[in-house]
Amino acid sequence: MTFDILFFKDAAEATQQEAGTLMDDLRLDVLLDAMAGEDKRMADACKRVLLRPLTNEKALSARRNVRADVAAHESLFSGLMTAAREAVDGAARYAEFQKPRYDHIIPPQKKFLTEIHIARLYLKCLRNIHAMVTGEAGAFRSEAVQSLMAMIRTRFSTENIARMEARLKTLDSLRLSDDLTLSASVGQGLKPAGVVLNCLAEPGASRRKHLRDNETQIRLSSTTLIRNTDDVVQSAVFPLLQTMAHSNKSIRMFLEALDVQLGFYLGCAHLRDRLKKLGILLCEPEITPGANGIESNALQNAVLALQEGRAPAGNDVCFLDKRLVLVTGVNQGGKTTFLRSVGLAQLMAQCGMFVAAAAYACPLYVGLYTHFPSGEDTSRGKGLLDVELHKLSGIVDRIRPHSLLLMNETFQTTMPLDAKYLAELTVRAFLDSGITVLFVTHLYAYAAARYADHRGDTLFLRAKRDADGRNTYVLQEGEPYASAMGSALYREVIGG
Amino acid sequence: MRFHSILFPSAAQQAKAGNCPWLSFRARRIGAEERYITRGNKTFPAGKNHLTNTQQTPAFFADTGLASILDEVLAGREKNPLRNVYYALSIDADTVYYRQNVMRALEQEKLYALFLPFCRAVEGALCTMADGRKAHTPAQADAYAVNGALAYCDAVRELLKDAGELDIPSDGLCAFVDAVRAYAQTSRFTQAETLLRRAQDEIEAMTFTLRIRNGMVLVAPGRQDGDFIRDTRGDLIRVEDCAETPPRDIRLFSELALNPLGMRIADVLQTRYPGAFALLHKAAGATDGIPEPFIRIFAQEIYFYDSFLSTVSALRARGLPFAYPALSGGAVRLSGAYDMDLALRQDKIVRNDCSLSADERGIIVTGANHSGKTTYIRAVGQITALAALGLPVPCEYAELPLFTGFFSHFSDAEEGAAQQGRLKEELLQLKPILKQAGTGGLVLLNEMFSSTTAQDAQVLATQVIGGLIGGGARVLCVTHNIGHVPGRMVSMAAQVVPGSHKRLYTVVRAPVEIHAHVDALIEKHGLTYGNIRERIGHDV
Repeated sequence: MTFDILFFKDAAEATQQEAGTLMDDLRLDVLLDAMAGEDKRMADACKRVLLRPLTNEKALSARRNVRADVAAHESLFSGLMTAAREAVDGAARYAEFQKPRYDHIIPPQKKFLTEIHIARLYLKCLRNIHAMVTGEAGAFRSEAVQSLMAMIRTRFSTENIARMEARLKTLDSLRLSDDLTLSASVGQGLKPAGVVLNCLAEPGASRRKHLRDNETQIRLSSTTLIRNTDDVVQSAVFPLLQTMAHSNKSIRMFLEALDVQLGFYLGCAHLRDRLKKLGILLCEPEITPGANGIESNALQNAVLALQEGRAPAGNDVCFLDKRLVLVTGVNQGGKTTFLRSVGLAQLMAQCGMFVAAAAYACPLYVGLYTHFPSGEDTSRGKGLLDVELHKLSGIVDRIRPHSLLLMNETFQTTMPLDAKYLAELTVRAFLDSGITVLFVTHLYAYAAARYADHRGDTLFLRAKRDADGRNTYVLQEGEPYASAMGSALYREVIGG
Repeated sequence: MRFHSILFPSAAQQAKAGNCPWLSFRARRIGAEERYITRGNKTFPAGKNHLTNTQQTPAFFADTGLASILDEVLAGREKNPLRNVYYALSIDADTVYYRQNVMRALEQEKLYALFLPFCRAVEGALCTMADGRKAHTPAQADAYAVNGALAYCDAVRELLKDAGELDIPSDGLCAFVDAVRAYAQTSRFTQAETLLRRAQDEIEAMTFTLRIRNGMVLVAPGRQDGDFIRDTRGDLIRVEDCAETPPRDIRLFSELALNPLGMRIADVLQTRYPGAFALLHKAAGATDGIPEPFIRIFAQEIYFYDSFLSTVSALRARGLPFAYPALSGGAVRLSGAYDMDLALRQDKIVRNDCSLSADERGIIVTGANHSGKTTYIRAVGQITALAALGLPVPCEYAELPLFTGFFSHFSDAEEGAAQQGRLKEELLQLKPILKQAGTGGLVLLNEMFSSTTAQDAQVLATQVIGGLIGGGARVLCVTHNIGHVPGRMVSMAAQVVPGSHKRLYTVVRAPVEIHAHVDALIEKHGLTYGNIRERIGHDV
């Protein structure tokens, strides 16, 4: 990568959860839709970033600085992105001519001409980009953006572009004829060695046939000789083609990187606009690397807000020094929403984005994992618990100490007694491995037993109804709640 | 002409080595196209899985895994006639030590860096000279001959320059260097070298310019200035400078012989530089008899050591030892021995010891299925053969006699279709071994008579072993059922973890395991206590 304003090299990758499940569990598709809309390439860029949270404080703050700069100069950056994208797309159309097809081989000269076309296209774009950047008066705060701008100003300066333009013009002569001069000495087996291409069509040379004093003409009297001569020309053109292709490739990589990397930041700007319109509170998260938990005021689920088109209820949450958060409570009480909002906020914070809360302070977790069993995975003909445990074992393969694990109704698929046993076993194992667990559960027996233990390391939250029996969607700290899901639902639906 | 070889100290010993009567025992596994499997009354052609051991492979090599070790050692060198050197096992103690010294010397990095590049250069020179014979024009043929011969002269000079400073602890290599030194001082060599160098210098000094314009090709002597490609690189905008691979050099006329255009260019050059070409022709006349035959032979023979050495160092890098065996009168002492063939194919290797006094005639190995019995005798077989070749062997310490015959009988238990016929065939195969394996022979027997009844097998095995050791041969025998161990034989057993079926793959001296056969059977059919419980529980 020619430049890196996403600071990807600091991102964790190896320990992350399988991309698909994190996308589904946190409903990231909704978020991506708000960021990129119809723009598939931008959506891809945003997805790539979201699935690779940063674990490095420095990279994170650098990314936040870039985001601020992009937000401040949105029109410039979206102009840059559009220009880059147009050039890349245009070149891709030409690249069709480059591909070998089953019925013919493309001679190097033809490839060469295509490369010249592509180079012209890029040159136009670079000139454009250079003009945009030099026309921008404002200053940039982020060092990365500054160096990118400086690079654009110097590397794509008017002189450099003019020089390349002139060179392309010389190369054009290959389009007209095979005019070239080679110098060589004699090597092994009388074959030419140390061959150098001196020049293409000599300037000022007339197209008339004429010999110089010391020249001997070889008559191309047979097709074999003509073919041999063509081979010589092609071998001479080939390194030229390589040089050309390399230059084009490096420009293309630069433009693609520009497209992708700016895509994420512009996506953030779009998301910010959308959420603000919905009246969601946004804040810059406060990263405290040494902290042992998350503290937040009025934490909202951004995805739910986007889905419902209105601001959902906010939760205050604080589990500093707690390793386990057990959430119990009534059905439809906002437990899962809460779990998602924590996951989402943490993910966004670690991607250098803003967070949908009044205030949000968090450490940097090594990884973020979700275990949201769904009843749909029965296709393999295994038992539900089997599938669930398979999924959990997939997480165990990847999870590392100092990660955050969100478990939603885990072990709900088996008998209560087994479930309690499993929950005790796995949660204890996770906690002892230094993993912070948020566990939404109906396993009252498990939660109650844990509550009775009076351990300091657990925070008990519960979703309750207000006095009228309506769900408040706000969680409170307190003793685990025997949810009696069935009877509550029965009352709600049937009445009683 | 004196005898020069780094494989044999003298011509007499070389002549003796080719004479191995036991090599006529060919591998029973022959080429796939000739091999058929019979099931009931139908015959199917066998699959391709038996292709490696072709008809040429001696049975002992195929059975002990030496054949596939050789495949690995000789990979990429199929053209070199080395395989036959490996098959020439019957050599004397002098030759063994002679070769061990050469090998030890080549293990020194400095000496390796002296001789191997020399041999490669000589081979390259030979190749270039051979190219000359494929050229279509006399001038090009001359040029190739001169190029090759000069590369050879350079290699000789290089060898002598570096060899002067080194102490070479091997008679064979020392004698070779001395011979080369004497050869390089002959007037024949020095005169040819001077002439070749002059010719080459003149040819390399020729330059020309090639102008291609509108279907014309114009040739002129002398070079022109300017490098268009370099200039183009300078002018093109590149965003990142680091990852660029420099563009390929321009190579014209990639084929070996000049094509018509190349010939025309050569013709033009010939008219422009007649003196250089005349000299070239004269020099080409002086390349007859280059390289010297003894140097050419050396360049081939050294690969016997080099190829094995590269395999050895690959295994040593994994922590597996190799030792130079000492030759004893009759006692066998191996410690930390392992199957080299297996080591080339898998990571985890179990090492075993083997010791026999001069009186003990052999070993009977018993134990459960897949517990390392066959691997054990294979490893010992490999070590004896490699020791007889004068090569380092796969173990920590080795002391063993020099066997004079190598025999093996590995029966294929799967092929037992017609009982009586199979048994008879097996006896027919054993008959020549019994006849030939006299004093000093080594016989490996694996699962003899598996096709007949246990009673028969016991009686026959005892008779065969008795016959062999009576004739003075040493016997290594793997078997599932033998009633009692014949006198002067040692019993060894492959170990399993007591109370379970976990294999340790170690083989130690122990009494014959009586239940090994039964254990193996019930396990094969999944009828152990644990298995039965598991299977019944699952059904319920």
